[in-house]
Amino acid sequence: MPVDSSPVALAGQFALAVLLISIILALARLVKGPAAADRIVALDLISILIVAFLAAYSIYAGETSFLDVAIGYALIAFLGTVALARFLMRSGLKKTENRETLDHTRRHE
Amino acid sequence: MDPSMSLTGLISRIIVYTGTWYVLTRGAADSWPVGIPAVLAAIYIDFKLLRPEKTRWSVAGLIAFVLFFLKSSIYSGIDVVRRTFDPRLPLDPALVEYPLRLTSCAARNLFICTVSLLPGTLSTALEGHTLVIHALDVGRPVEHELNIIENRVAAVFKHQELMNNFETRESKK
Amino acid sequence: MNEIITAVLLVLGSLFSLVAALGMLRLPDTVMRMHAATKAGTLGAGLILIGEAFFYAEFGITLRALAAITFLLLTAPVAAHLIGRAAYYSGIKLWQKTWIDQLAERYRTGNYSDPDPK
Repeated sequence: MPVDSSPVALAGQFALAVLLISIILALARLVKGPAAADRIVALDLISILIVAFLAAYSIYAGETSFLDVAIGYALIAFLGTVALARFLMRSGLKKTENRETLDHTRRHE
Repeated sequence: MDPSMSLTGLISRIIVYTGTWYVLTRGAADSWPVGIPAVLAAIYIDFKLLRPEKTRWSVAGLIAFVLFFLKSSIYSGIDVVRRTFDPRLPLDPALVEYPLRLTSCAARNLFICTVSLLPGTLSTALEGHTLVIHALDVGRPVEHELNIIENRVAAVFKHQELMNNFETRESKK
Repeated sequence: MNEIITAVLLVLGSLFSLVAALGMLRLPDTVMRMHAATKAGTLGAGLILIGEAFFYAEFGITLRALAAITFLLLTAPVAAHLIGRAAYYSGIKLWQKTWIDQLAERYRTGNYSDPDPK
């Protein structure tokens, strides 16, 4: 652990606290978000924030293995987000199959 | 296997994936029993899913692009800061249909990633040759800026032909 | 010297991440929240990772930090693109003042060379 008063230690504590607050705010959107897409975006942001948190903690604790965790987590969380997005797409397409034309957001070719 | 697979493509993929594994595992000697099957699986999936194309990189274009990208990333972060703290900012969002001029898959990937990370634009959907982009402010010349970005992305690869919109737009119905 | 750079990058990176999360709460539209998450979130995490590369100043760490940044830069926009596409096809309600149909008409006239169609 770096000495408590060194600039890196102070900045590290600040960064970890701010990142924690950011994760909580994103969780608020996860709970509140009216559309399913809002929640998936919130999860995507939370995974990016966790990667940042792992990197910041790796600096603060002086332990380099957290960086490996961050890389592995980033890749796996991306897979999760892709799976969720595909699920959303399929359910959206199924909803619109029963309608003759898609919503106003869809172009007509 | 795909008949358009070339020897240089195979060798470059082996190098890239082995290098990635080496970087990720700090070259630990006992990780290779897992690493070699992983690299082989990655190469196999690569040839199965992605179309192997001949992409030639241009170093000068790449360096210029990286600098442009770094500068624009900072701007995009600052732009988000402004929009978050001042919701009354001139916000005129629109879904813009942009006809892509780039042809190769790698170039299009780079373009889509760049557009999403640059201030004011986010790519939404890709239909054929048209990219639907959500722009935050159409008071700005969005298409012109996208043209500039496309030129820069094309400069990263050598021999990158940019399609002319008007010819292909009629033929791709 | 490296320590000061790392400290500055840590503070900046975490502040950008905070802005991303605040944007998620305050922006009025799903797609605009994706803007905030993709741009500010990736920038914040990227700055912290660069700070880590400066802190350790080892070749292996720097390489891995750059790999992490590359993964983030490649995966975050693709994730936003896929979510945006799913939302677009499932008929999501955009912010009321978003130009959709008017813009479709304007751009369909084929006047693509005009940089400022107003």
